[in-house]
Amino acid sequence: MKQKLNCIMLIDDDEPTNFVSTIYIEEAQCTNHLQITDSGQKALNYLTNSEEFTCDNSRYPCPELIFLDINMPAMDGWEFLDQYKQLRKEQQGKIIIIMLTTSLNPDDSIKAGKMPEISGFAIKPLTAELIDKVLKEHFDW
Amino acid sequence: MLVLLFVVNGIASLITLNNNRKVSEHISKITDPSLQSLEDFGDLLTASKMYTTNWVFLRSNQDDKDALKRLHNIDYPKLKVKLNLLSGKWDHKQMADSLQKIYTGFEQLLVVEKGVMSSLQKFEDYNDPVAKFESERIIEDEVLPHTSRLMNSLSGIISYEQNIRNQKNKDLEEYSMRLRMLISILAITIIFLGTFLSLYMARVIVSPINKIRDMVNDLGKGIIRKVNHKVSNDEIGKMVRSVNNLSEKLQATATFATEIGNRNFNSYFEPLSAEDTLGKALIAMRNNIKSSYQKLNEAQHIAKLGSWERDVKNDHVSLSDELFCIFDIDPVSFDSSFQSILQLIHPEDIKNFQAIGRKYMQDHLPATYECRIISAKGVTKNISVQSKVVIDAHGEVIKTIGIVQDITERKKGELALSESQKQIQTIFNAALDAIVIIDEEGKIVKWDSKAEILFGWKQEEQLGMLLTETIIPQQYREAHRRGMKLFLKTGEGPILSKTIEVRAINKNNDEFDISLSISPSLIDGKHQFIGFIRDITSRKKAEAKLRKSEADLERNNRELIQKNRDLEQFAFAASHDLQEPLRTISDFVGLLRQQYQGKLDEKADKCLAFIIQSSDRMKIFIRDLLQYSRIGSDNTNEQVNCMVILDEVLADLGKAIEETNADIKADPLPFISGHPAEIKQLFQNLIVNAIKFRKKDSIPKIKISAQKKDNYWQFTFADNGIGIEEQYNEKIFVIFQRLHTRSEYQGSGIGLSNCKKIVELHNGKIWVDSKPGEGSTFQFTIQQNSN
Repeated sequence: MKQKLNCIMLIDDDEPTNFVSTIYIEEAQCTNHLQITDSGQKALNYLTNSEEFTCDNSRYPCPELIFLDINMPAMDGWEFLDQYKQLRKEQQGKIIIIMLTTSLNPDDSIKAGKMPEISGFAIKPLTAELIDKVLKEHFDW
Repeated sequence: MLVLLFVVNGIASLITLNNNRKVSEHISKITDPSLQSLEDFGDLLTASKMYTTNWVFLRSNQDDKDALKRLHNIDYPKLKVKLNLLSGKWDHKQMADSLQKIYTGFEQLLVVEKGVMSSLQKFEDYNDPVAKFESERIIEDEVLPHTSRLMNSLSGIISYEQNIRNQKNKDLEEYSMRLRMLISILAITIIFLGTFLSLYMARVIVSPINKIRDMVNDLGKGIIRKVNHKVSNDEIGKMVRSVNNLSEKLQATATFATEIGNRNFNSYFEPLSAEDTLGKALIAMRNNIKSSYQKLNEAQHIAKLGSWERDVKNDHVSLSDELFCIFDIDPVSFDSSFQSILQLIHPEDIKNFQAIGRKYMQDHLPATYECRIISAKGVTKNISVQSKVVIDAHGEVIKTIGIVQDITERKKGELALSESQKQIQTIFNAALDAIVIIDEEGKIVKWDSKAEILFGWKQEEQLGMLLTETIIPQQYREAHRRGMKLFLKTGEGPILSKTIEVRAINKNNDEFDISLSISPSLIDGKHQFIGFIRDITSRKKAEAKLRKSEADLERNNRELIQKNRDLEQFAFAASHDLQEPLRTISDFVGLLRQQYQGKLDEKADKCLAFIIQSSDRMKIFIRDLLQYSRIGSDNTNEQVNCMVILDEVLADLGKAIEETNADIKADPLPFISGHPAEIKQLFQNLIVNAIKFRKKDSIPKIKISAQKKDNYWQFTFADNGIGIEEQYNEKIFVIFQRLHTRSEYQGSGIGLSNCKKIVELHNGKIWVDSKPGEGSTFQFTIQQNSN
């Protein structure tokens, strides 16, 4: 049985990208909650329930899967990961992080491969096939 | 008083003596002769009676008859004259009168007798009985009783005169007695006065004189003190004052002499008078000693040599000036104790110091030793000490004397020398160079361990060998022999005392590169050549490598420059060429929206909107990128009036300024040398940013100013906007880096990188100081003569 994920999080500053990603994730019907944050800092706030996300966990469930953009203003994907590693274990949770990028720079994929926190690396845009592949690989779909 | 006494006494004595003399004179000249004459008168009376009687009764006695006649005619008148003279001086006139009566009676008797005599004048007259009888009766009746009466009267006068005489004698005796008394009183008075005077003298004169004598005796012994005696106004007082004055002056002189003895040459002293030979001599002596002392001090100072003297019994140490300097002791606060000196001895040397001290105090032999001290200022010094003891007649040490020399510098020298010898050995040992020494003939006399390693030959294999037969390659041997000959002949050698690089051979006959320095030295009149040899094979290799990598670097640099140029060309071309297809997309999407907006579903409308948005963004990106790549392509430099530039920018931004009510104030701005369009873009970007990143609830305020620094202008664009976290201060200047999402603030992320490029092309720097929520201050510098 395909078990819906509790929460998927998109971290990307680009509104059209988020628009496209939302369409594909909704079509896949694989999550109860889709959280879109347009900056790394906001994502960290969400994970730690601070600032604008100060509330109990029930409203802001811990994501099981994050699609993370590399190229963002202020805090980019890599910097987010650095901050994420600083979080307490229970805040980190057991999150699968997939890096999404428009970057054609091969250095980025090599760098991502060296980081244990990153489970996958993909080129934008997020497609139905990519979602399917990720779910199968990491969530027994 | 004494004189008065003597005078009174004398007068008394004189009076007494005078009285005495008068009495005596009276007795001898009047009383006694009167008595004698009166007695003679008695005798004469008796003789007259007897002769008359005999005249009558003895007829034939002619002698008596003659005697009677003489008595009558001569004796009696004579006596009468004599007695009258005397009786005239008698005190009692009645006695003289009585005598006169006796004269009268006697003269009457004489008349009677004359009658007798005349009656019996002749021998035959006796025969006349009447005559005879008459005569006998006259004798019986007249002469005899008359004579008796006269005798009685005379006896009365005699006894009276005798009484007077006795009285006079008594007076005489009394005067004598009185004289004796006076003399006795005088003698007693003199004795008494003498005693009194002697006691008085003893008190008033002898005591101070004794004191003066003692003091003078003390002066003779060198003890100067004053006479402690109440100074009266008499001669003694003057004497005491004079002696005390002498003592005072002597004391001043002695004090001066003591001061000289204590080396206090500056104490005040003036000769007591122009004739004060001692004072003058002392001053001369002082000047001489002072001069000598100064010379001695100077000498001691130059030699860093000080002297000391220690009074062992009284524990008193005196030091010379230089020794105070060596010990760094303040002469004023020095307590003169030996302990104070001991405290200066270095703790590690104190045991030895004391042992040496005990030894020479026992054996009385001079001692010379060295030790260290830690001076009063904490400086460690080396000193050399020479000590000597002074013993008294009993062989006991009373003093130690000696000299101390500061030998710190010498010690340092010695230490440095031994250090440098050690250093030389260490250098020999540690030197990377092999050291080989040859003699005048070219024979090896030293072959050190490094040479053994370098060439493979052991020392014993090489000593005595000719250098030309071992390490010098065949092709250099002849040159070496010539060089040696030249040096021995002329003292010159082209390769001496410098480092040359040559080839050498080792035991395996392999040739390799060495560096070689040869220093000639003259030992016992013979030349030696010390060679420092280093294997430079690896260096030579490294040099070759370096030369190669330098060439590589240069090539890489050239390539880099080319690539950079290509890249710029590419960016320009790409952005230029991308514009065309982008414009097509944009046109067609616009067409699509115009035709189908609202006729499809909501998602489709949104998709179209995103496409239009993205293509617009791309236009901006490409435009900005193009602009960025163009910066610096035009090298023209001119004087730019920043005020004019600012006015242009503000005019261009008029609409935005109006919309936001932005308050922009600028100080007078300078002329600078630069590219006007670029400067304008720089200003514009900074002002646009300041307006764009304003706080939502307040009017943007921008303050622009420029400050003259050494050789550049520093511009400041300060705003009251949202500010930037410090961590992003660098990042904002990197191309395409943005701090905000597009939904928050539009932009390509190129603006500030444009600014950075422009500033750097004008040889300046750009940076930001900011506080989030308070505003940002962008500052950049432009060199006055930027090219």
